[in-house]
Amino acid sequence: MGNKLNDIIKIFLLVIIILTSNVSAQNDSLKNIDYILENILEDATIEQENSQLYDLIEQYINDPIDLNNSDKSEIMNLPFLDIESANAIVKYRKDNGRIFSYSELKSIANISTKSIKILQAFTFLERRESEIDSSFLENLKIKLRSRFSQNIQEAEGYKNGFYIGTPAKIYNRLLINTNQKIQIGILTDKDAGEKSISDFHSYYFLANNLINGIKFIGGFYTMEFGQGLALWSPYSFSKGSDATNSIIKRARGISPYTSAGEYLYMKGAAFKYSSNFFELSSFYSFGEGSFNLSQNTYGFIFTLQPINFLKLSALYMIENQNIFDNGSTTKSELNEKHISFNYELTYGDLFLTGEFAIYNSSLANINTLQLSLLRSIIVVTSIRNYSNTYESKYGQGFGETKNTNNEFGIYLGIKWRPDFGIINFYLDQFKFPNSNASIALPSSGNEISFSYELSPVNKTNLYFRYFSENKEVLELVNNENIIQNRKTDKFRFELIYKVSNSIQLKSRVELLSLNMVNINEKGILLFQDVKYNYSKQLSLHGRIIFFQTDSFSSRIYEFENDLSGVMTNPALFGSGVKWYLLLKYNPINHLFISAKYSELFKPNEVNIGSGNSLIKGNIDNKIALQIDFTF
Amino acid sequence: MNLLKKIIFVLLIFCFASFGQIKPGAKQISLSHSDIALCNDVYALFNNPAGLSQQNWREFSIYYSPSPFGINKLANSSAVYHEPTNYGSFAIAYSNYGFELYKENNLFVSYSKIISKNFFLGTTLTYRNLSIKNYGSDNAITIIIGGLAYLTDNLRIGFAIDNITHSSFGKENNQIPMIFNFGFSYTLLSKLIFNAAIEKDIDKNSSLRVGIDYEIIKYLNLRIGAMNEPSSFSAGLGINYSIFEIDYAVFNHQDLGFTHQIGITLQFGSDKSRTERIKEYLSGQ
Repeated sequence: MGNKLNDIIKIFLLVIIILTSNVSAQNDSLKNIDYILENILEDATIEQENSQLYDLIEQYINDPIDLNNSDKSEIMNLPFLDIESANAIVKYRKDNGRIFSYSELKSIANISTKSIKILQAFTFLERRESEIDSSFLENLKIKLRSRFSQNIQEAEGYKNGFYIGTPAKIYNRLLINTNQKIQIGILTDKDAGEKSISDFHSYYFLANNLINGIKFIGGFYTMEFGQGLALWSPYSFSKGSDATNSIIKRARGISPYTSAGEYLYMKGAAFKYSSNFFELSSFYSFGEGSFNLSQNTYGFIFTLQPINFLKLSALYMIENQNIFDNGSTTKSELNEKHISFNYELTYGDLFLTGEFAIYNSSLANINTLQLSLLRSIIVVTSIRNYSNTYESKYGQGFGETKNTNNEFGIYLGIKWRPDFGIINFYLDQFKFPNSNASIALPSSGNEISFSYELSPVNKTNLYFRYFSENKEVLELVNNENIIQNRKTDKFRFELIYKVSNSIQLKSRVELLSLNMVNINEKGILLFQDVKYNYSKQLSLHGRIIFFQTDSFSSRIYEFENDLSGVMTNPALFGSGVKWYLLLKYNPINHLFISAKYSELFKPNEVNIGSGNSLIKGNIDNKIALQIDFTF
Repeated sequence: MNLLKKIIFVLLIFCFASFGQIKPGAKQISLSHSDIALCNDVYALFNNPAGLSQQNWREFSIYYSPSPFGINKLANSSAVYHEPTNYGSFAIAYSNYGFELYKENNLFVSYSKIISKNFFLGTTLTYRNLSIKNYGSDNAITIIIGGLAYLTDNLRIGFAIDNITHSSFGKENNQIPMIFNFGFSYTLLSKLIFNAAIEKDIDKNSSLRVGIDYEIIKYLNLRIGAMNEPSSFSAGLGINYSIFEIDYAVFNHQDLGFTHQIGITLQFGSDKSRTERIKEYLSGQ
């Protein structure tokens, strides 16, 4: 009781202090990166702390590209930017010459305010004088990031000895960058329960244009090709509320691997040669070998632009498996051959792209057509057909499942930007012609999503989304597993209000209903979120979430802001409350500190979690702290 | 026999503990507590303390609910006082509930501040004392945090979280509910105020509430409201004259019938309507 009382008094005092202090006048310093992330990742239904994407965004923010001198593919590769915006910019440059300010872009019908925000974050219009200096040391940038996070309650796995390490999660990363030409990165990561501080470690060396036209990378990296059917990096978007943007992938080729996820990266070396007429890449990766197995992957990518509006590329990739006897003699060798072709055709307002991937004499293909109609309407249609014998370890093709296998689907997406808001709509039908991991029979389904975003009064944004999915799944009826349709409906209402330059409020109500023969579940989630920029250096962000769902099946995801470089999208289920406080502090130029404290409280539970991650009691707290140094 | 009666009462009180303990304020009850974004009187202290800082006048009010659900032993009453200062708004309140077998005494202290000209934050600290005969007594401190923002001159949003520290009585968890509230309030022609809110008690289904406050003629307001969980209708009227304001409210419960309550408020300083006074004050900010 005494302790509790103390806590309460402390919280009360804190609230008083916050209330009594005056808000200092300042300009908008809500981080662009947070804005972009929030807008895009709200709809993600993956639950993982994947920093690959975050790193990519950070990379662009630190080294923005020149909007006036970049070619179309460079602009198209900017994360989250839609193709029609990229097209519009290129066209505008051609007609009007240099772009002098971002406000110029507002006059172009095809570019939304969101795209302009993205461009402001990831590009520049004029390089400042000081940045032209090319002396080596002047341009040497060193960035060090250290992160620590831990659950306060001890999980079962530590008590029974399953986890041998400490419950702390520790992440360290060092990036050295000079002149945009040489980059070196080293990363160590220890997950909760692991023993060594460098349980996972990665490193890379990147030389870009050191020799004209050649990019070389050694160490850990990722490769992306075409529409991702055969070769892609670990992270990709699934269907999102943006109906036209999430379906067409833009391959970035070779990139350094800066994430701590321990899967699907390449380890070895890769290079790319680009000339005015063609591009050639080659890569080699030593797979993780166990004692009697080694797996290597290598391949070539060739890209050619024979005419102005057509781009063709081809991939040839071998996954080589060697299984050894007790000695070192090869017992068996397996070469898995992947061949894939990708095309991109841009003609006026029409954009057509697709990929044909062949493996094991089976074909996977996707073809997508995008049309910009009347400048304010964009229509995307796509057909995908992944054979059930097709597979690729590195494949991440668009689809209902992520494994680019056993799926046929048709997608139609429409984005309309009338004067009264933004409307997004998509319909996706999918069919699994053969049995899959969960159902031993063919199955199918469809989903629709409709969203409407408007700004009814100044500084206020309203957002509605309706999502409905029908999918065949197994259900136990009369002691028999039968295939049944599962209908999931989700409705979201959200209000964002920018009170002033320093305060932003966000409220959300989300409802979910899930219906099967015997199962009818409901869920609700409500949250209130306050962002407060106390000063240019210090920002505070708090959110409290109330949720209630009938079970785990009717869980509701909620994307959370987190430390820079971390993305959190937890699934909330049962009934309870979660809240968090996030602090970002930038006391001096070279130092950036962020900290997060969160609490999950489920009043009706005796334990939270299960198995080795089970926590006794109904409260789960987590603290996280991160320090970023930049020299 | 007497003992049996007492036991039944105690059980009844436990059953209604959450529902029977309707938050005070005759006006609030007549709007089915849909006024989380309105909060333009001293009772804001109980619902959304942020609302206090839009009121630049002193106010005192007493409230009495003689016999909820026809059971006079459930009678409850409260007194509230609000003092605006240059450093923010302060308010205190006292409320009690129950009878000699089961009794709750609550003391409230509240502070609220204008953060920017269209946004206010407030917090209320409640000291709660519960005593049950033959079982002893316990104390708990709970906190309400609330915010209120003006999107336009006539449109407001408000939110509040009650018992943010999930405090409880005794050794048992969850004796005091943790509640989230969010709502809109819209003023039409300065005579009609439409309110809508959603309330989520951590342990219960979410509840939708709507309420309308209409100034039918000068000095007289009519109010109606409804909510779905528990299903209930409410109505009331308010008579304003000079600095006095008398509010009456009634609401029904499907199984338990009607409950009546009354409040008398002294609104010092001017006899203009609340809406006008707030508008004047905020436009000067």
